[in-house]
Amino acid sequence: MENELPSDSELMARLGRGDLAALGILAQRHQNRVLSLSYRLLGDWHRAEDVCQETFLRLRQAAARYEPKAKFTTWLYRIVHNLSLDQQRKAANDPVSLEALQADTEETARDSSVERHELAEAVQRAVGELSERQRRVIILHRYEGLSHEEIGEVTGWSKSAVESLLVRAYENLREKLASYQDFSP
Amino acid sequence: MEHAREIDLIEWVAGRLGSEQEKVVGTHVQDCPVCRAKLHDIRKTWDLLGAWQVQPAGHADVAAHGASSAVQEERRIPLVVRFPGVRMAARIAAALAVSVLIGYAGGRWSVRPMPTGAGMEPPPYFSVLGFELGDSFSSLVLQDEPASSQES
Repeated sequence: MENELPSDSELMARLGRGDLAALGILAQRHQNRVLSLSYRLLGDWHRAEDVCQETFLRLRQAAARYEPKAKFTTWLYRIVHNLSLDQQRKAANDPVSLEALQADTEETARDSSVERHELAEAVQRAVGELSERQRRVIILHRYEGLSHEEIGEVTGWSKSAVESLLVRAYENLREKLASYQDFSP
Repeated sequence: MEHAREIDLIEWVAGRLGSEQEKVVGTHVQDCPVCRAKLHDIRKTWDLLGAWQVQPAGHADVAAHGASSAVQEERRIPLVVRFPGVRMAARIAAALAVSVLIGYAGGRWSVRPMPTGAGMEPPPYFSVLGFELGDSFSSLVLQDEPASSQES
């Protein structure tokens, strides 16, 4: 059908041929999930924005070589995941400024009831306290809806490692959020 | 009774089990209080995790900015980098240009007029012999030499 929206693979092929309008469509289509994932992985909007921009630049650079073997979003998530890892390494040497932290907190607090905001903060904190690997699989599984195989493709870990990390992560989160069991989100 | 695998319970809550496996786990959970309690805990944790919502909408324009940066980046990338074939052509053209320049400069140097003894007063016999100041010193020598050799 002529009016059907082009698939991600088609857009990548167009981008590979130098059609930069395709990049705009891809950005519009995926920017929210790229931002959400990078924010959850990094906990800082400024760094998440950097990752987002860099992701679409990488997309442009890789378009000519792109082969649609895996699902496009899985491939995209792998870029975001790797870039977030790089950002995290940089962040270890360059801690987030107090202003940035305050700005993030204020933003989350806007339009939220105190109780809900408290719960959201508790969840964010609990996820943040998980080990690095558990945190990554939880974010990809719970918030991005990826299957075990897809998480394996994004992170480079085996399916059995992903499953074992998921089980331990959910157990740890249940313990950490035990005092909120009566809350209804 | 063998209990359900915890990972299957997690996937059951996530709604990502295949229909057959979902039926198997569902039937087992109905009969097994241990797994039912575990499933309840997992579901509660799953729901609590849902409270952490992020709103990327306010930051979404950065992606558009990212895309436009990519476009600008594209424009900044020299042609020779974007198209590898152009790189070889550019190298050949540059080599030719350098050769032509060297040839031209060499040619200019080889036909350069000889020094004219600028600032020197011509000797009085100059005009008698029909020489002019513009004549080169070397030509004077060449013209003088046969005469001196004859004298000796």
